[in-house]
Amino acid sequence: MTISTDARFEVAPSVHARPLHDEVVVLDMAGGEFFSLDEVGARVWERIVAGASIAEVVAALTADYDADAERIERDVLALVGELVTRRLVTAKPVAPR
Amino acid sequence: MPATPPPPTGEALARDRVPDGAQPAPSLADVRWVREAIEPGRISYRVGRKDAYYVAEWDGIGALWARSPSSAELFPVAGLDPVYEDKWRRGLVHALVRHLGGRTTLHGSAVVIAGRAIVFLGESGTGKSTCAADLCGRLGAELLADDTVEIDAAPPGAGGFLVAASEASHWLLRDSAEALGHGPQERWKQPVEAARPARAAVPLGAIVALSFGPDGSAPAISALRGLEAFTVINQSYVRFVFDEPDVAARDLDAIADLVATVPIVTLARAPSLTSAALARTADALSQFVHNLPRGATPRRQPPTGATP
Repeated sequence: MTISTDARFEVAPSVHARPLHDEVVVLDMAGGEFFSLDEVGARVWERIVAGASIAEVVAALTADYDADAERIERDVLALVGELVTRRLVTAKPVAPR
Repeated sequence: MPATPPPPTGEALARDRVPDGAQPAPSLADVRWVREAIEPGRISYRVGRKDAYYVAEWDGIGALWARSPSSAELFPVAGLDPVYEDKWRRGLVHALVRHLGGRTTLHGSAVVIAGRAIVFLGESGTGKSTCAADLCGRLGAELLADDTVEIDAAPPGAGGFLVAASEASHWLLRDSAEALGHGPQERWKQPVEAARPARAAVPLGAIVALSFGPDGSAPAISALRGLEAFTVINQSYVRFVFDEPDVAARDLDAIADLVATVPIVTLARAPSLTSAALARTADALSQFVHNLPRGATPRRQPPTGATP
């Protein structure tokens, strides 16, 4: 699956999430399964559910962690890819320009 | 039972009694079972649905049928040991009905130390009842709960949670009862009257997940955060409803509220039941409880994600 860095996402209707200290616990009510996101994963989650694009998430994390943007982009794409595969989030339709 | 749950005052161990249904008990033939606990060779406990009913069956003990907290009926099997029957009614049956009403019960034990409820969780055989009984005997702690720990939000303004006073006896396995000086028992688990049963609900001070370390190891207490803390509570959370998304979300919020506001730790200690080993554990717990922050006003965290 290829995810564009312009892509934005929304939380699936069957998903309920709660922050726990620095982490986020995500419950998929459809399957009854829990998923956990560590501190960095939680920051990605918070931003994408607030409507940020992949590029915006990468920019924010690169600033926060003073780290290599390419590597962060790779990690964010991998995480978001997994969230999509597990149907916890879905890509928003892109408005035609 | 009243239609509205009573305020969580923990009044004098009074339990709402689920009424017995008319015999013969309804057939379990068409129940759709959603969770089963398997012991070697048999299903010991299972929970399911039939039409509008939530159904639980305990092998050799009885069945609970409920449509709501105020519409529940119990069907004990004939010839049940009255001591176990009373414990079952006040404990697990009550806990399942509480879950239907959106209230939290954890599988564990609880005592009062320095005015605060300390709840012990852990897998079967990790010493929840033993730990509670030893602290009652050794430190003069009051007993709040043994097997099912009923937790409700404190009244508005007070903040935090209250643990109900639900049990006046320790329920100990034979080796624990003998190690704690309670003499031989006739039953698998025998109630031993607590020296000081709590009479009212007590603010929840901490949750302690019990485990065993190597023989001879010193007791070690370490804080849990985030998902580790969540998992400990989730595994002990008593549920009657497993297949309704709204209930699953409600349970997640209830557990997350506990994790956000209550100190949750693990306690690993040597499995020995010698007095010296139990005393070391009691010392470690006593020190931990007396170092807990006092009077902090807990804050609830807002939900995120599904409702951005």
